[in-house]
Amino acid sequence: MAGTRARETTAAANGRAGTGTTVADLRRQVRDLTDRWRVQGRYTPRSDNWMRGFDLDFSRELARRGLLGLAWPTEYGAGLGQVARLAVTEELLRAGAPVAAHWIGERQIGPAVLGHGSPELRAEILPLIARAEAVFCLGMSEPEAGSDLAAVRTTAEAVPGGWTVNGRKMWTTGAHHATHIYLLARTARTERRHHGLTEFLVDMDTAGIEVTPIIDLAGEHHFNEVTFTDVHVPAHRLLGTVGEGWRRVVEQLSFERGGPERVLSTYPLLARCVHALADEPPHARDLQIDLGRLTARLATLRRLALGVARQVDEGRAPTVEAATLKYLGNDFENDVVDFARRVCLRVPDPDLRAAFAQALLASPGFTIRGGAADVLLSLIARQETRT
Amino acid sequence: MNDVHTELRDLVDDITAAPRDPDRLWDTVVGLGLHTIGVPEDRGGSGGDFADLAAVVGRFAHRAASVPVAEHAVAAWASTRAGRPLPAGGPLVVVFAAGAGGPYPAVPWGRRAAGLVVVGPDDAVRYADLAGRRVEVGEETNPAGEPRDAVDAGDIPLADLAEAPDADAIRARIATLRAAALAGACAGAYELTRSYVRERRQFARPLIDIPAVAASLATMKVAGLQVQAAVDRAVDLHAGPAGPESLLAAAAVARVVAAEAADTVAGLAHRLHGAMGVTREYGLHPLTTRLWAWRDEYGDEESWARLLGTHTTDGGELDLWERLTG
Ligand SMILES: Cc1cc2nc3c(=O)[nH]c(=O)nc-3n(C[C@H](O)[C@H](O)[C@H](O)COP(=O)(O)OP(=O)(O)OC[C@H]3O[C@@H](n4cnc5c(N)ncnc54)[C@H](O)[C@@H]3O)c2cc1C
Repeated sequence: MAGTRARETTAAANGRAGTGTTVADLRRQVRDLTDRWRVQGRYTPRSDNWMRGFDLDFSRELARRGLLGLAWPTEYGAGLGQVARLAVTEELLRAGAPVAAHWIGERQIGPAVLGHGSPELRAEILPLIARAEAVFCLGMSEPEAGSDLAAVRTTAEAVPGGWTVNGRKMWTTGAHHATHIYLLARTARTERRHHGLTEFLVDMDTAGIEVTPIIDLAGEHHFNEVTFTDVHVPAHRLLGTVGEGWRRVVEQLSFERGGPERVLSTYPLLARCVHALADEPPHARDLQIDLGRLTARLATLRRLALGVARQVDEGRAPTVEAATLKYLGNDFENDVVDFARRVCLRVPDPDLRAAFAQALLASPGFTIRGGAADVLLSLIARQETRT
Repeated sequence: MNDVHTELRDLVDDITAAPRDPDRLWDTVVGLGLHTIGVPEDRGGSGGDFADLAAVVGRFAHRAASVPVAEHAVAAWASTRAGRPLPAGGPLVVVFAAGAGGPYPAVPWGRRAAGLVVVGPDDAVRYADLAGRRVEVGEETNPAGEPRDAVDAGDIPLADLAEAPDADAIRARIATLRAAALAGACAGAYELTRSYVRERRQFARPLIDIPAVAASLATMKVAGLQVQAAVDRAVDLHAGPAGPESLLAAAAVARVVAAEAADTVAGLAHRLHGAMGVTREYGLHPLTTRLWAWRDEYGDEESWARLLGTHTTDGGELDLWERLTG
C-alpha cells in the first residue's frame, strides 16, 4: 500500500501518468486538458478528428503528461496496459480532440516495434513516438493492392548497408505531415504471395520519396500518394524478420481495427443530438426510442472494445473480435449520422446542421479504411470455416 | 467462462441430451438444485451467484429446453430476501401486474405455479401462495409453445413482502436472464446453421464455400458476439455495488441488443437452412420460435429502448458517457 501511494505521489508530482495512476485520474486529466483547450478556442470538437485533426502541439501536450505509450512497458511507457489506454483514447474521442498526429504511431507502430523490433529499433523509435516527435503514416495500400494487401508490388532490394525501395503507395493518410512511414514491401518473389513481404520504418525526408496530395470528397487533404524512387533504407530500419511481414501485418491489424475510434468517430455529433433533444421530447418520442436503441448498441460496443483491450493485455491478438468491433462499430457510426439527419429535420439548430454535414462527408470512408466491411465479414467467415 | 460455468454447462447438456417432457425436466432441475442458484444456502437455495444462474439459463436456451429456471430463481431470490421460506417444489413465478389485482395475463408456467411474486404498478412486491388453492387458469402459449397462462388468483390474499428487493432490481434480474436466454438461443441457432452449411452440398461444393453464404454466416456470428457482450456487461454489474437504476439500464441495453440479434439470427438461420429449417422434425424451429417469443417477454423491445432514450435525454450526455464507461 505504502509503495503504491509513494509511486502515485511521484507520478502526480511530475504530472505524468505512471504505475499507480488510476483510470479515474487518467480520465480527469484528459477532460481537464480538452476542456481547457476547447474553451481557449484552440480546437473545435468534430467528428472523425482522430483522422482529420492534426495538431502537433496537442499531441505533445499529451506526451508531456505521459499519456502516450500508456500501455507500453515502463522502460518506454507508463506500463499501465491497454485497458488504461482505452480510458484515455475514448475520452479523447468523446472530446473530438485533434489527435491525428500521434494516433497511428501510438496505436499500432509502437506495439509492432515492441513486439518484434530489434533492441536498437526500439531504443530509437519508441521514445520518439512517446514524445510525439515521430509522426507515422501507414504505407500499406497500393494502386493494385487494396483489400488484397498481399498483392503489394513495391519492392525492397538488398544492397550493401540496407535496402533500395521502389514503388507507389496510395491513400496514405497524413503522409504530408509524417516524419516516418511504415512500409510493407516485397523483398522476394515467391510462389506463395504471403511470403516474401517485409516491414520497414522509413524517414520521410529520405531522397527519392515524393508525396502527392489526394483531395477527399469533403474537399480536405488527408490522404496522399507516396512514390519511392531508389529510396535507400538503412539496414537497422528493418522491422522484424525478412520475408515474414505478412504475419506481422495481420497482428498489427488487430490494433488498427480493435480500438474505440472504430465506434466513436461520430460521437461528437451524437452528443450534440442529445443536447438538442433535451428540450424537445413531447414531439420527439420516436426519436427518443431510436436514441435508446443507439445507446444500447454503443454500450455494447464499448464492452466489446474493453474485451479486445483485455485480450491484448493477456498477450493475444484478437483478430476476429477486432474485426467484429470494427464491423459493428462502423455501422453504428453511420447510423448516428442518419439519426442526426432526422434530429435536424425536427430541431432547427444551425450548429447541429453543420456538425451533421461535416460528419456526413466524413462517413463514406468509415467502413473502407482499415478493412472494408465485406472483407471483415469474409475474414470472420473464414475463421468459422476452419475451426 | 470459468470452471464453474463449464461444469454447469456440461450438467445442463447432460440432462437435456434426450428430449423429455417438461414436468420430468423440472423435477430433475429441482433435484439438482439448478432452480435456486443465486439464493444463499442458509435461505434454502443452492448458493452461487447471478453469473452462475445466467450461465445455466443461457445454456438451457441454447438447448432449446423449456424450463422455468429463470422465473423460479428470481422469484425465490426476491421472496427469500423478504424472509419467506421456499416451498418444496415450485415453480414460483414473477408477475408484473398492470392493475391492483388479477387476473394476470401471460404468466409463464401459470398452470404449474406454486406461488406468484407480484410486482404491482405501485412497485410494491407481494406474494400469492397458490399451493392447494383453487386458481382459474386459462391455458395459453407463446409462439414457441411454452405455457403463458392467464391466471386468476381470485380471492387468494396477497401477502406483503416488505423486505423484498427494489422492484427495479427484480425487473432488471428477470429481464437480464431473458437476454441471457436470447443469447443462448442465438448461439444454438448459429451452431446449428454453421454445421448445416458446412455439410450441405450444392453446386458440387459445401454451401459455406459460396461467398454470400459465408457472409450471412459471419453476420450471424457477429450478432451473437454482440448480444453476448451486452449480456456479460449486464450480468457483471450484478456482482458490484450498482443500484437498481443502473441494473435496469444495463438490462435494457441487453434487451434492445438481444431483440435485434434475435431478429437477425432467426432470419438468417432460416434463410441458410432452406426448406429443411421449416420442418417439424428438424431442430431449428425450437430455437427460432423461442427467439421470436422471448424478445418481447418481461418488457418489449420498444419499451426498453424508450427507457434508455428517456434516461439519455433526461440525464444528458455526460451522464450517458459515465454509464458507458463506468
Ligand atoms: C479515409 C481512408 C484512409 C485511408 N488511409 C490509409 C492509410 O493511411 N494507409 C493505407 O495503406 N491505406 C489507407 N487506406 C486504404 C484502405 O486500406 C483501402 O481503401 C482498403 O483496404 C480497401 O481497398 P480498396 O479501396 O482498394 O478497395 P478494393 O479492394 O478495390 O475493394 C472494393 C470493394 O470490393 C469489395 N471487396 C473487395 N475484396 C473483397 C473480399 N475479399 N470479400 C468481400 N468483398 C470484397 C468490398 O466491398 C470493397 O469495399 C485508406 C482508405 C480510406 C477510405
